[in-house]
Amino acid sequence: MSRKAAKKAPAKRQTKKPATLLKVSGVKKSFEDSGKIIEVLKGADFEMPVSTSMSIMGASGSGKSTFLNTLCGLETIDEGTIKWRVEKEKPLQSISDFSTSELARLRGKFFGFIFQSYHLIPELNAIENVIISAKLVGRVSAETKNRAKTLMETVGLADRLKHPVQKLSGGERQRVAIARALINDPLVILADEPTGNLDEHTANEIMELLIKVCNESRGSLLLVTHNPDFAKLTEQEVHLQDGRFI
Amino acid sequence: MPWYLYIALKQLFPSGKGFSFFALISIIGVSLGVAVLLGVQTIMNGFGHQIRESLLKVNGDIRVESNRVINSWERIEAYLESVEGVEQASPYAHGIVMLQHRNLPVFPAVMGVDLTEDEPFIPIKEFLTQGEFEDLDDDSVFIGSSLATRIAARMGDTLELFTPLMLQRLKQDEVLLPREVRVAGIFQSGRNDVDSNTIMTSLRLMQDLYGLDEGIHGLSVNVAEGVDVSQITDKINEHFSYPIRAVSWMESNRDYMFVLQFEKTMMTIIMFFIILVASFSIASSLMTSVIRKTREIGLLVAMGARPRDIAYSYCLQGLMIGVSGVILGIILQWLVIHYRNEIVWQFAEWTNSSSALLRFYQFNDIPARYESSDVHIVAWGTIVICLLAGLGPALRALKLKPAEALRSE
Repeated sequence: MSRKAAKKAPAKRQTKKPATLLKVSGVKKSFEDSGKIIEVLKGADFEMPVSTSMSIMGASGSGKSTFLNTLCGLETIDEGTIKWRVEKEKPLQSISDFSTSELARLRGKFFGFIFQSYHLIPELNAIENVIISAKLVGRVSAETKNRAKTLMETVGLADRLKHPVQKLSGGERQRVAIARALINDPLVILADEPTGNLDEHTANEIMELLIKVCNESRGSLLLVTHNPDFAKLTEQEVHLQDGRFI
Repeated sequence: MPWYLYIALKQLFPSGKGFSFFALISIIGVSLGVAVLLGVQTIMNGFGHQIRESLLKVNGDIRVESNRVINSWERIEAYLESVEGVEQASPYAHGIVMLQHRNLPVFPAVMGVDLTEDEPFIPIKEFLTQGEFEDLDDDSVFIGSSLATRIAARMGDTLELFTPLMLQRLKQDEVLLPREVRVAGIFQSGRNDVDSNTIMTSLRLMQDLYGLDEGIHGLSVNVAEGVDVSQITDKINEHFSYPIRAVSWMESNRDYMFVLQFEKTMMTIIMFFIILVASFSIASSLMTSVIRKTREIGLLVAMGARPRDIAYSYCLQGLMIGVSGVILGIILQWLVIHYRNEIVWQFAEWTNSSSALLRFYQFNDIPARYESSDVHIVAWGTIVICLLAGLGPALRALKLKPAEALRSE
């Protein structure tokens, strides 16, 4: 099934000396558990060009999700630097230079998140779950609502706009999450095991959709997965092992 | 609409459901607390007002008295009536007599009022249930309704009065003959202590009974509406020297007024605990919500929410519950107060306690009086308590680490 998805993978983009979107240098991150220090990232170095798709692979517990969280400032780092090119013509900026409010604004406008467990808000219906992401960055126009509807159509849920999210299937929920991630037209989509909770057939559909919408949008995709077939759908694959990229 | 207000509204009133169970229970809890608190205060205010009114009617606003008989009282009356804000100053004489009817003796208080006044300081005309004010003369009395019942006195009956002056004469071996008076009217003031133990006579008859000649015991002063009674009392006291002294109705009933106010304060404190209990349930429910929604909080932060805005959202939920509860509570208590008599009498009918209610509480209508200050204190107090109830959960939400929140199960 995943081969089928791989066959449908779009042609990889031809780029000449692409500018760097993200540069991670010597990032270390450790957690304390019952007085014991667990080093998760042990000096991770990573670079990602603009308008590309990359997948991070690694065994469970290798720190893939932690790495993704550090990239957008959800997790603080112990050492190293994480730099993003937030605006095209400007140089890379370290996320440690951003204030809490600036970081929040950055997360809202620059990143789109897709999680393994969908993380939809049960009190909101399907389209409201998409719109809330726009509301968080202060976009509340009729245009936003139209864009939400268009995205819902794109992910194949045009007939489920006002459906309670609890009544949607896993695949449908993840489609809503994809629409939500795209509503603010982000530069990067961070997808953390987006198919982890889905059956194989639905997982393939979701991956196809994700790759398709990312190619259609101006953004980059950073996909965390441990499925090698899905990793092949992206332009580059990196492996995280023992807290470092190999 | 800011997103945190939107989320707060959606958490309380989710799409497709209308009301969350938590919101419904919390709002009902707060509205019941507000309704009970305001209802009790309104009834207490009503009773307090009724008692004050009856005190004022029976005693007047200010009494100018002395520890001895006041003989040349006309100049005092003239001064009192010249004071700005004073409507009327009326002389009176009062004391205790022994009253006998059909060999049944009682010892009521006697109030002698000046019949030359167009309107006596006590609204006797208003109190009279039988007889006419014009029928009162120097050989007749008005008798309190409960006292009349006790001694089986009816209109036109003759009563015998014995006074302390007669006892003095008895000591001097004089023949003791009671003063015979006719019952010219029966009155009901609404105060049981007055109606069961008072007779009213003309000032002249009282002067005769007590041997006062032209003297009086004091002057009752009524002031115009809206005038500060205490201020006028002070002014009168500044003008006169000892032993003439003016006492306001608040001062002469200080203990009574204190008990009334104390009762109201105690009721308010006790009732506020109801709201406090409701607020704890709100805090507990919101805290549960924060714990239950830890991942959602992490998600919102990941999507660009500032932690302080998430905290606002929880504070707003407390605030919205408080405001909704206050509005519902005010409506509920208005309904209960509006139909209070029907509710009480229906309850009395069900429990066969109508007659007991009349006998012990002596009212047909439950008094009620709204005071805007009470509504303001209860409404704002409740809203602040509910807001504080949301603050604890909000602080917890503020302290959550987003990545940990996203990982939480």
